[in-house]
Parts: sequence; structure tokens; C-alpha cells
Amino acid sequence: MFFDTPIYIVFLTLVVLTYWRLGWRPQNHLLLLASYVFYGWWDPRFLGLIAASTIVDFYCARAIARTDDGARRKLLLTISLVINFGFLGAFKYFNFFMDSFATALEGLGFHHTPTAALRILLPPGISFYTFQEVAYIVDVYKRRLKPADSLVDYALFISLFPHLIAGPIQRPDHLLPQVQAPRRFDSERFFNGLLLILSGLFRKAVIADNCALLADAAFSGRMGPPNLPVVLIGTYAFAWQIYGDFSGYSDIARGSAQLLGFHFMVNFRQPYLATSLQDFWRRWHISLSTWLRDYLYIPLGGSRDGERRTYRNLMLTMLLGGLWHGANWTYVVWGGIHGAGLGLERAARRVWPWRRLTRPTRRRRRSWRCGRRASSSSTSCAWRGSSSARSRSARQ
Amino acid sequence: MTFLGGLRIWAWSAEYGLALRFLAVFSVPLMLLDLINERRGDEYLLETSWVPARVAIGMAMMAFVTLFAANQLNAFIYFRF
Repeated sequence: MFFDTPIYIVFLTLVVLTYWRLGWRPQNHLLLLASYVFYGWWDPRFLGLIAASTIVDFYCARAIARTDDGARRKLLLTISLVINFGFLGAFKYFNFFMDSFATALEGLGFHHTPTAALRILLPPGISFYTFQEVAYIVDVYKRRLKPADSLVDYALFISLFPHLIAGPIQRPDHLLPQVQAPRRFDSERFFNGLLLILSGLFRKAVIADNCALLADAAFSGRMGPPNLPVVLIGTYAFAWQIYGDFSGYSDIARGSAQLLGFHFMVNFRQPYLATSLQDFWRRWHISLSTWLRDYLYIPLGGSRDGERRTYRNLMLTMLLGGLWHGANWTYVVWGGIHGAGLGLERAARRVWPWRRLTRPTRRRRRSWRCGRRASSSSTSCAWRGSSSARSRSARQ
Repeated sequence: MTFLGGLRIWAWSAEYGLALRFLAVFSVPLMLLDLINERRGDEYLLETSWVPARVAIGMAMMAFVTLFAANQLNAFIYFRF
């Protein structure tokens, strides 16, 4: 059930109309049921997976909060993380690691490796809801959050259908309290939710899908062999396609949530107007970049342990961020390009006073524009690097 | 890499001019939206404007979606993650 199809519009209308006639607890039950129907629409076989990981995390979090025994808390956290990342690893990366292993064996001269014996399907949205579950269990472990009292509330926090398949990745301290409290109908917010959905449809159906025609033509060779104009047209068309597509999706998700009285975090803030790569990651897929910052980069040490470690942490975060985007080496390379870019930028800032370029004064406007052009061009080229894998998976 | 290797080769045909115009038609509106939102500090177009302006924007977007949506639907890219 894609957001830009008539079936989703019918589904959303029915849910919204029923939802506002109910009281708070029945509303949560209805939304949980609707979210599981929405998820099951893709493939009902994966309902068991999301339900299992939800139940495990719910009870692990409660057990963590009940005890002050440090070793027991750590053990429970480890169990939860192993299960969550185990599911993600098995379903998302099994094929990738098997194929890489087979390629490595072939490189060593061994042939007929049994890689095709087992192919695992990727459950929709597993990368997104796993990150949400991990954020919840870590926050409870660090005593930043009280665990949910009700399994229904927690399950709804994980599976609320507007964010379930492709985010925005919701923070427990932002969404869980909204699930746990009654929502009031607000006509102004409802109207703004409709506008967000329209804005999302415009970005997706008009901008992204039209740019996709051009990008596909350039990448597939229908515009002729690659030369400077073809490469530039294909690269920039793909850059606008991916931006329109994902920001459109996020707008529809946020608008749908708003119709139900929820507020989702902003996921895009004019990313192609970024003046540096660092600025770009503050504007692009904000829910993922802030997740990576808070649950990976900072726990690794962030920028606290000297320059060398900061570069290592930046690179590791971006490599894993790349791998999160897809089980393919092109995504790892894409993460590496961004990690190297962020590292270079950091190094350059120590030499040149780039720090102030994000706020353009008259004197600095020229260099600020250069930074803007450089960051948008480099991100566009990096998209191109990862897009070959995307195109292949799209065709499959 | 083969594709990016094409950056070293210069060639031109009338078809590229058409493609560039097509790209401009569909990317400039999004760029303008972003510039307006950036300047106003809004999350989406005319978020803080009066209601009739927002209604007009909504109607215009509906018209654009109806008239100019691509004839070929693509799955959302991030759905594959």
C-alpha cells in the first residue's frame, strides 16, 4: 500500500473518520489494528517478526527499569540489542554477506559455492523500526525514559502506520508521550496535515517521478553513451528525484500523522541549500542523521577524545550509515565518501575560518555560495555512486 | 564508474537541450519552494500565512498533481530500506 495510491487514500480516510469518533484507548486499539493491517498488506508473513521484536523489547525495557543491578541491566540490554540487530542482520544483510563471501571464495579459486540455496526476503521498514526499538531500549537503559506501561501503547509507538515503512524515525521521548496521552481534534492542525499530504504528493508524483524519467533514460543508455551532458543530466535528475521522492514521502507521513493528532519530527530542511556537508546532514533525513549522532557517533566518543578519534568516529558512523541504506558495497563506498568529505571539511575548518560560512555576511557571501554549490554538487555525485545499486534493486 | 567516466567526453545533440529544459521545469519549482521556505523559516509553503493563501496553495498543488504527475509511477525509493 504505497502512499501515492488510491488504496492508501481510502484506507487513511476510513481510519481518520472512525478514529475521531472514538475515545482515547479505543483510538489506540484502532490505530494498532490499522497499522498491522497496513503492514500486513505488504506481506502478512512479516507481521510475526515485528510483533516478536515489539514484545521482546517491551518486556526487556520493563525488566531493565525494575532492577538496579548493573550487570543484569546490561545483560537485558544486550539480549534486546542482539535480537533486534540479529533480525536486521539476518533479514537485511544475509544475502549481502553470502554473496560477498561467495565472491571472495571465487577470487581464491573456489567455484560452485552454494550461495543461491537460501535467499531471504527483506521485510518492509525493518531498518526503520529496528532503529526506533533500539532508541527506546537504550533510552530506558540510560534512565532517560520511563518504559511504557501498556504493550498496546508501545506496539503503537513502534508500528504507527505513517512512519512504519520509511520513517521519519521517531524518538521515544517525542512520540511515546503522544501515544500515551489523549489527542484533541484541532481543525488548524488537521488542515495543515492535508496541506502536507498535498505537498508530499506534489513532490513525489510531479517532481520526483518526472525527474525519474530523465534519470532512468540517462542511466539506462537511452540518451546515448555516457558523455558530459548525459552524466550531468542523469546525476542532477537523480539528485532531484531522490530529494522529491523522500521528502515527499516524509511530508505525506507527517501529514497523515497530523490528521490523527500526532506530531512527527521534520525530516528535511532544504538540504540542497546546505553550505557544507556537515550542514547537509543537518538538513537531509534529519531523523536518521540525529539517530546516528546520538546512538552511534556520541557513544563511540564523538569529538571528545582528540582529532584522530573524531575522524575515526566520523568515518565509522558514515560507513555504517551507508550500510544501513542498503546491503551493497556501493552504499558502503557512498558512506565512505561522505565520511571522508566530513573529515576533510573538519580538517579544513581548522585551517580556514569556514565556521562562519553558514551565516552569510556581505563580505562572505561569495564563499558561502561556493560552499553551497560545492556541497550540492558533491552530494549529487555521491548519489550517483549509490544509484546503480538502487536502479538494479528497483528493476528487480 | 563507467558512467562517471563519461565526464571526460564532450558531445552535444538537440535531445540534450530538451532534456535540460525538462529537468529545469521539474527541479526549479522545488528549488524555489526551498528558497521561499528557507527565507521564511517555514516547514512547508506558506505555513504561517493566512488561511485563504494556504487554501489557494493546496488547490494549486492538487491541480499540479492531477495535470503534471508523471505517467509512470515509481515505488518510493526509501521503501526498499
